[in-house]
Amino acid sequence: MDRKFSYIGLAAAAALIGQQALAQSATVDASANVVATAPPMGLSTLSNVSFGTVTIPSDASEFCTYFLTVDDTDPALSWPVNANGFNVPHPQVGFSEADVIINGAWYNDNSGGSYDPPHESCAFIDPPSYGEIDVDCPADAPFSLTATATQDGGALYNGISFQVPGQDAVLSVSSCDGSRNLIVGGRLEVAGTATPYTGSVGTYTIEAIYD
Amino acid sequence: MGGGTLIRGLMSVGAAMLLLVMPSVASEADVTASAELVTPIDIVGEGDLSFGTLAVPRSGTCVYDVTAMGGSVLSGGAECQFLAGQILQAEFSVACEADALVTYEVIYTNSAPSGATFSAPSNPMAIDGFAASGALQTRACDADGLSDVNAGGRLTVTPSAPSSFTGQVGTIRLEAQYE
Repeated sequence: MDRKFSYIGLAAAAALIGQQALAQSATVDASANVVATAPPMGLSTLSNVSFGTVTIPSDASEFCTYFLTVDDTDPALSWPVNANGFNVPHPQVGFSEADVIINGAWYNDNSGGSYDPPHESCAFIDPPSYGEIDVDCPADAPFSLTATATQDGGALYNGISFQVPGQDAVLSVSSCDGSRNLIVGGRLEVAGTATPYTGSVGTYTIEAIYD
Repeated sequence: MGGGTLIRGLMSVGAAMLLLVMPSVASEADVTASAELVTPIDIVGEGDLSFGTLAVPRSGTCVYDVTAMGGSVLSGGAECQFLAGQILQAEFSVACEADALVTYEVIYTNSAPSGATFSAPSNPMAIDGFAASGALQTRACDADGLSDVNAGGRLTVTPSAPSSFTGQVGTIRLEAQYE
């Protein structure tokens, strides 16, 4: 009887070993959120913004602010539209001596009156030109453009400040099925303490995103 | 009657002798019982695989890979994008006998909606931080008796996939056994 029990015991042990040889398994899920999206937009620079040649205020205590404004009636995407919130009805050409701020006082001729800045120290000498960016937007969907201006350190140190016109830093576009040209202006502030300078005054970084 | 009694008596004697003889012809043999006692393998799914949010292409095919190490690789046109969300590889914890050879296998089941297919990427499995390799691997259980197994996944998306879908696209099963 003892031997029989012994054999039974061996058989049981063998069965246990056999169990351990069986594969063990566990399962986890794989998940995804799959969405149809508008195809990505592409931006490419066609031309840079140029303020041309502008004057340094003759009085060291003064500041000249030069605007490159863009007319929002332009069939191209124009931006910034009505720089700084002012109604600047300059068809096609949105820059002129009329768009000059001297010491914070706005001087322009949009009232139909005569333009008579207090002095001639702030002026565009050579014509400026807009920047132009090609916006490749294959989806017929609204999107927004956002600009961030980075000032050139050397120019800023020299009393020259390049800025995105404040409230126009974001432009909403209702639709764009194909390709559009974006016209870009800007704002340049020159201190009376500035010294003659030629070169970059800053960089626009423009980001496009579907709304 | 007296003769009959005698015969029965002799038979009884014969039977008794037979019983006495049987033990004298028995033989014995010993067998050795051996066993290898090992820690039972226990697998726990620690984390699901997630692709995050993916773009459905308008044309062509997008192949989205989540690698076993948790990276993301895509192939296809410009419309193929990992848009948002967490990208996570699958994670398993395997309790096993320290240093014992274990064979691991990851098995993929597709349940993605029409137009998309869930499958194994190349080199879908990584064990204990070693470089990702095939779906079937044999490796020694970690010295601490607990091996970590990670698995990647591939989601192939075509333009016919639903324009918006959130949910399970498949399962990954890990099987393990001692070599």
